[in-house]
Amino acid sequence: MRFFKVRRDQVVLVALIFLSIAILTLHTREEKSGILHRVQNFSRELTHPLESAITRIATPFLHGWEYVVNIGRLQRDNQELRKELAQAKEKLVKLRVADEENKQLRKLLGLKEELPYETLTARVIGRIFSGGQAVIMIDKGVSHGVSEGMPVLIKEGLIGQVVYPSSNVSLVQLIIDPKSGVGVQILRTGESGVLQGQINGELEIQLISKEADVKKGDVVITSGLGGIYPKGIYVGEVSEVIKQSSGLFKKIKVKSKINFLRVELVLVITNPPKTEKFPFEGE
Amino acid sequence: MVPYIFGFFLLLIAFLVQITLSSLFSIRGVQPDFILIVVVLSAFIEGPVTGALSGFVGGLMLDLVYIRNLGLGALCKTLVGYVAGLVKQTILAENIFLPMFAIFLATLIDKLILAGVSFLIGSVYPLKEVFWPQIIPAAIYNSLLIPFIYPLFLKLEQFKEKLTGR
Repeated sequence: MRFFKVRRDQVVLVALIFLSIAILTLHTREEKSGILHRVQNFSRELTHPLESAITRIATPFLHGWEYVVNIGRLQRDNQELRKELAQAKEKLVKLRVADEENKQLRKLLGLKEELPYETLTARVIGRIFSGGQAVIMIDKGVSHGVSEGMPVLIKEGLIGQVVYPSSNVSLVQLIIDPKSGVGVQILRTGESGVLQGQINGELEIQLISKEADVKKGDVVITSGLGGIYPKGIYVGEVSEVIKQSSGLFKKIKVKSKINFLRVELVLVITNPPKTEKFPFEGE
Repeated sequence: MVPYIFGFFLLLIAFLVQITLSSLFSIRGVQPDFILIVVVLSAFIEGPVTGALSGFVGGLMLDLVYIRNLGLGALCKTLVGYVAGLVKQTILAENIFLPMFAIFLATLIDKLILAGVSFLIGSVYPLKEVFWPQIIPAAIYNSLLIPFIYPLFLKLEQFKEKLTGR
């Protein structure tokens, strides 16, 4: 019986192979317009709408499946992209800081060349604008040749003077500090006075006579009096002249071009010329 | 008659899945061959004749819609189905690895016959180019689907036996 079964199996196999080869031969030999080609084309046309319909139905599932299959990769990509974005942002911030620093350095370099004094470039590393004082800390100290009383300035004008130099850092009292006093003069007329910081951060010239010729917009420079600041350093412009009914002096408000909160780099004049002291100062 | 109708119904489902949803299962461009899986599993359960018949019908179905010579797929899958049925008769192992390995080999044989017959009839089948990037991954993919499909197949077989009263 087994023999006949095996024979039957083989007959079926041979028949199917023969049939396949026959179809294959006929299909290969016939023209494209032949019956087998037409059957094939008809089948494709028949299955096409079905294929489209099922694909349309399956598309949401397909996307869902793709999402499931790719979720790990998507998460990885997302993390990497976030990381890259954070790095790019960090780089951008650094570039902006560098750009700003570069601009300030260029200005300082220009100023350095203009000034007839030896100067030292210093970076601002701290700011104290509270408790009625306006002080900044710079990263240069005695070890760099900085000493008390050295004037500090930037391209936009006078900053202040070194008040507490230590080994590697120094405190600079700003001209807007209420305890600061700078000998200044009106460039146009040569009228002299003392510039003092106010508690509200403004600048005011005191000790200018009531009759002095001062107008809004007049340029204010250091007068060279007072023993600290050399003559001729730009300080600011007169923003308001207040005539007082009583007293001997005018009140003159001065506006500096400097934003003291944003100063990053400064120049310290390390060999300031000896200047005259204020007439009212003792020895 | 019922087993044949049942077998044809399974092949039809596999065919529809193959032509419509196979992209759903595509991994890096490699798609499983559902017709081949049905042919080999049918051969495993029913024997070489059913395997050969399933192969012929399933292969012909694909030939009708694929852009290739009619009869080419039928010939390949007939041979594969028959050989798969013979393997089951020869080896008595009942674990899942046998159908998995059989599908792996069947995929390779199917493509090798396809390449050989294509060569004989003057068609081009770039066997060298597709062997490692396409055929081997497809063979592995088909094998990995077996643990999911084979138990289903056995259940359907039981259902079919209930229907036929065998």
